[in-house]
Amino acid sequence: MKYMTKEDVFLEIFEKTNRADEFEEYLKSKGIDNIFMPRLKQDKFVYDKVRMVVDELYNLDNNLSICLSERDTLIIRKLYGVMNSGWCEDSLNIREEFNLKNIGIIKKGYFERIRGIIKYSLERTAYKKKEKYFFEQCDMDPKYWDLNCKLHNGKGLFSKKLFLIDTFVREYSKEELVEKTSDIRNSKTIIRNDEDFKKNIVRLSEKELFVLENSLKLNGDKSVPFIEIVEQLKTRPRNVMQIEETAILKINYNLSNNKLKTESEKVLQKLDKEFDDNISIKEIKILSLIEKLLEEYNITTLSELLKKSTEYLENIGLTSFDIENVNELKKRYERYIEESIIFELETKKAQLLNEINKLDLEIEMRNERINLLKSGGKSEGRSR
Amino acid sequence: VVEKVKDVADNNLEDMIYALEHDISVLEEKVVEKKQIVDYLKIIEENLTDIEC
Repeated sequence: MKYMTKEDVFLEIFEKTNRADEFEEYLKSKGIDNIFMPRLKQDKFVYDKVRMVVDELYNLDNNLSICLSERDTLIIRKLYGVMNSGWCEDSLNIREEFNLKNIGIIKKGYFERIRGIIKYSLERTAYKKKEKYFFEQCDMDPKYWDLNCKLHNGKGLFSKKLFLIDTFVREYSKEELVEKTSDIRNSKTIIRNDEDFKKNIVRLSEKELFVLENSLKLNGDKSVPFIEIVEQLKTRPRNVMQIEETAILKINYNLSNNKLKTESEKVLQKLDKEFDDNISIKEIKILSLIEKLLEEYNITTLSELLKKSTEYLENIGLTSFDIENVNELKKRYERYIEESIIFELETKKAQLLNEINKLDLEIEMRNERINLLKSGGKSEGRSR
Repeated sequence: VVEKVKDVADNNLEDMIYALEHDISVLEEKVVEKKQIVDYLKIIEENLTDIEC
């Protein structure tokens, strides 16, 4: 009869499940750079995980071991002598007892499942490290990520594709993330910490703040679940969502206002001087925030933008601040057109006056000639 | 013209366009009238020249 200590069992399972190269490749395929899970740390991680699995196997209070059914737990325990002080039961006996054709398949499946669990745990741990690194680099409190996604809905860094921090961090390599962090650090329209948040909630009512803080879990564990928010406000879920939208809009307005007010004024002054129908949206820096959104709807020039109604712009997702800017542009553009018309009319009027002057001169000249001819004709007639 | 335009209050631009259009139509009529007078004078002048010959 074969005898195995707990350590022997551990070593066998560790040997069968530690596939370092395979795990490394797997992490790479999931967009996690080596730096977040170096080989040594990975080995230690697998070692600890297998220890935990073996401890579970030896915990006889539990009928179910990790990744095994009750029957398979019993079979594996018998195979490793867990219940018989290390004396392993013969596999032929187990086959007969459980009426099985092949015991090896159960063992193989057990190791495969453990490898699966290790892969998943490795990925989660490495990913969490990458996420932590990202937030540290951009000096941002992770709890504000969702708020920023809502504030910059579909724009720039917070495109809809990367709405979840999970996707965002996976999408970019470490170097790319460093680049993005500088964008976040320098942006004045991104809320990074409590201080930024407090500065931009000045317009919010108590109710709006309550909904926002709790629905986005800004209070951490103290945050109230959505159903409780609805109950506390004695309203409908839809209304709560509307309150949240209003709060987001107000913060967005505040952020945009602070940053863009002066910039927009400068651009508008410039446009006043040289208004060009075909000026591209890119050149109008004031609209840089909505540039990508407009591109999605094939609005690339100023004239195309100005032709769109406010309702249309609202429907494609422009904020009230953006629309305010577009309307201001529209006003200035219309004024520019009117001024151009006046200039043309004034020119035409001047040309007509000039023509009239010339005709007056010609009339005067011809009148004089006629008078001369008349007087010459009379004097000749008298002399005859 | 630009200075003139700038003097005008924002809302008066449309009025100004209307006034200019009106002025232009009056002037255009005058031009037509004066051209007719010139043509008429040309005929008189030609007739008088023929008589003289």
